[in-house]
Order: sequence, then C-alpha cells, then structure tokens
Amino acid sequence: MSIDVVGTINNGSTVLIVGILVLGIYRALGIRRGFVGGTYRSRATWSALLMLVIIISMLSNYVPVSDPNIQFIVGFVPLVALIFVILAYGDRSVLVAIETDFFHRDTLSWSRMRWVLAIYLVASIIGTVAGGFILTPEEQSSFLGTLLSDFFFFGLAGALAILTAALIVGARRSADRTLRRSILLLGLALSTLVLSIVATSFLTLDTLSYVIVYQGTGLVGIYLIYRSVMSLSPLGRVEKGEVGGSEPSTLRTATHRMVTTTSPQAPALLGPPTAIHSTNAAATRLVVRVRRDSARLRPRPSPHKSM
Amino acid sequence: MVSTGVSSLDNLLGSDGYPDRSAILVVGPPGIGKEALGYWFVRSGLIQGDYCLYVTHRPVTDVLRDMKGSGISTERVPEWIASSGSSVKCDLRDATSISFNTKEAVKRNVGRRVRVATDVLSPLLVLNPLESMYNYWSQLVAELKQQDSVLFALAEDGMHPPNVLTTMEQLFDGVIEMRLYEEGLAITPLFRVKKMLGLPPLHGYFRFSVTSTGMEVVPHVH
Repeated sequence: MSIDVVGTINNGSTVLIVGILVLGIYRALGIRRGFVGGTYRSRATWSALLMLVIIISMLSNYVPVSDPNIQFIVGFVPLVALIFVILAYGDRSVLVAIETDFFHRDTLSWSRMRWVLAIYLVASIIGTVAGGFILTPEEQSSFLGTLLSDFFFFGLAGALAILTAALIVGARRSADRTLRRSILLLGLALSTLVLSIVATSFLTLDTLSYVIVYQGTGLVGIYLIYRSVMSLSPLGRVEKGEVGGSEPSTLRTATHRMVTTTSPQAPALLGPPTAIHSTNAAATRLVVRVRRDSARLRPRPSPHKSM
Repeated sequence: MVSTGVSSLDNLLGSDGYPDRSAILVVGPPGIGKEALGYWFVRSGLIQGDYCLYVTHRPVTDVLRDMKGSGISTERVPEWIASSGSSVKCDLRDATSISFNTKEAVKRNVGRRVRVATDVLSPLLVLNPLESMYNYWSQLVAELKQQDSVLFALAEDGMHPPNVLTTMEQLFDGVIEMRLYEEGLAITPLFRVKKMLGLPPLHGYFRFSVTSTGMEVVPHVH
C-alpha cells in the first residue's frame, strides 16, 4: 500500500492551520469584547476578519468544480478578498504605528506609497480577472498568460514586501510596547507570505519540496498572526485559589456585611456565599471540638466519694 | 472616604470608596477602560462639589469625547491641565511644570476636598529615568496628601518593564489592576484590588464591564 506523502502533508497541515485560525478567531473576538478603546478593538476585529478570510481561501481549494470559469471565480475571489484584507489591515497597522510614534515619522513615505501600491494592485487584479475570462486555458499557459500571472504574483510579492518593511520599521518606532509587538509579529507573518510566493515560484507545483515550502511557511505565518493577536494585550492567568467564588473569607464576609447594609444589589455582588458557609462550618467544628475537649478535661466524680 | 463614582466598587472597597488623603494607581493595558474609572471618579466629585483637576497629555476635546462615550454628561467639567484646550498647558517634556501647576491648583482650593485625576504617569515614565520619576511622584504624592485630596493616576501595563510598575506601586496607597485573563480558551476582562489603605489584602478577581450607562464590578466565579 503506497501512501500519498504530498497529499498527507498537504491535508495534515491544512487541518492544523485551520485549527490554529479557528482558535485565533475565537480568542480575537474574546479580546475584542474585553477592550473599550477603539484602536485595540479595531485591531482585534481586523485580526479575526483576516483569519476568517484565510480559512475561506484555504478551504476554497477543496470545492469540487468542473467548469473552468467557475473554478477561476472560486479560486480567485477569496484570494483577492484575502489580498484586500491583508493590505487594509497592514495599512491601518502602519498608520497606527505612525500615530503612536512620538515624532509621527512617515515610515517609508507610507502616506504616498499606500496609494501607489493600491493603484498597482487594483490594476493587476483587473488585468488578471480579464485575462482569466478572455484567455482560453491554452492561452493562459502560453507566454502571454504566464506573463500576466507573473505580473500579478510578483507585483503582489513586491507590494507585500514594501508593506512588511513598513510594518517592521513602524513597529520599531512605535512608543506603545504592546502595539509594537503586535505590529512586528504581523510584519513577520507577512514576510513569510512574501517568502512563500517567491520560493514556490521556482518550484514545481505539487512536488514534495513545493508542499514543504508552501505549507511550512504557511504554518509559521499563521502562528505569527495568532501570536500577533495574543500580544494585543498582556494576558494574566487566573489563579484558581483566588477566583471570586472561592476567595478568602475575610473579603467575602466583609463584602457581605457592607453590601447587605448599603446596597440592594447584595445577592448579585456576592454570588454564592460558599466561603461564609465554610467559615461557619469551621466555626461549628471548632465549637464542637472545644466542647469535646472540655468534657474530657472535666473532673470525673471520684469512685471513692461515691463510696 | 471618597466615592469612586461606581457604586459596586464603593461597596467592594468598604462602603464609601477610596480612603481620604490617598493616592490610587490603576494599572492596566491600553484600551481596557482605565480612563472610564477616572471619568466616573471625577464626575462623582463634580456632583458632590469637590474641586476636580484633570491632568492629561491629551487635548481637552479628546477627553470630553471619551467622557461622552462612557455615558458621562459634560455639562460640568473639571479644571484642566491638558496638551491643548486648557489655560494651563501640559508639556510632557517639562515634568516640573506639570507638578508645579498641579500643586498650585490644589493650593488655591484649600478648605475644599480635591480630586486629581491624571494619565501622565506612563508617558513621563517613558520619557524620564525611573529614579528621577520615583522622586518626582513621591514628592508630588506627599505634597498632595498634606491637603484634603485624593490623587488618581493611571499607568499603562505593557508599556513599561515589570520592575518599573512594581516600583511605582510602592508610592501609592491603593493599587487596582485591570487586565485580560486567560481561563482555558476564554479571555475575560477582570479587575483586582492589589492593595488598599485601611483594608485587609483583598484576594479574588472581579468581572467588570464599561458601558455607556456606567461601570459594574461583580465577583468573578470561575
């Protein structure tokens, strides 16, 4: 029995990547709920959106379509959506980095560069879409078709490389340590995407080396995006002994006393009074023990006296 | 005691809020809602007729917009020391003038209860060496506490190395921590009173929510 190594690696890493992304979306939305400030909420939302679009574009490869035109749409539309989300999120991240820089330096002339990149990408996408519909499959694999495809993919790699550089430089300049880490990790994640586009263009599709490079860079990139989300806020760990339901009796009793005397919201504030009960139980045990000990110490009637 | 402006927090801290003549530090990551706690503190002071001073590195218009977003009416406003929109300017490069202007404003209101809320601690810590900032804040806190005043300061978690915040916490009578916590896969915003003058150590976490109608603090059950 032969094992399809390429297919196994492909499917296994896809499952792993989708798992990381689903967890990332869940946690990004959790972080979003915890924030009041607009900048951080917005970053959490964008991260969740980016991960969702990555999942859609990955799973679109598994949609069984026979019509080449529909196949082109199913493959190309999620890719274009992904590119737009990456560029929009990257653009916002660079702008936030510039805003949080003490000197508000225009990182890599980003205020002008963003428009150049946007126009170039829109033009190349329109060209590729038009080519996809106008050119026949034979023409698409001809010199003109390859040129059009290369124009799109190398242009995309160039745009992403500039964005990556702007993110890394902008992150270094940001005064906000939290944002700095998050933006830097996003920049590094995009650098793996650039590396993937460039490296795989020299490899034959669906060979082992291609799959290893493609999925390996993908895994690293996705993990970096996940870490970027998680570094949006320093996270603490709840110590089990200190959660509200089992906190020491001093506070629980004190809280109970003040709340019952001052606020009608006492039950809501207190929660289940387990600690008070446990204190009472401990007190009861102590009283029983004292009684038992005192009974043991009590002088017994002397047998001689009774005689 | 000085009301925090949030009734559930007042109850938690021993019926009436922050202790008199105290300095309170609220530590939390950016965007978690520390400022809202400061706004409610100032609002409560304005309602009670206290003299309220807000020292900020931001423009007054930005703070007012945030206040409105937190559901606080801006009909009554505190006196400002701000980067713009106030008669007295807050220049982060001149820490001495910030301290001087704050103390002068407090001195002008002798006999009244004073509430000072500020968000300049973190920027000043970023721009100045820790040693000089420790001396600066210890002097400011000591002078403000000589009068009937409560200082409420905000510090950004994640913007400073851990030893910096630990050092600054020594200067304050009360330290409240707000941050996101991991509980298994879920992430929850929780609130913890690390220390408070006149109260035994308060263990346990509390869930908090900031809405346009106010702030609510309830014990967190795991």
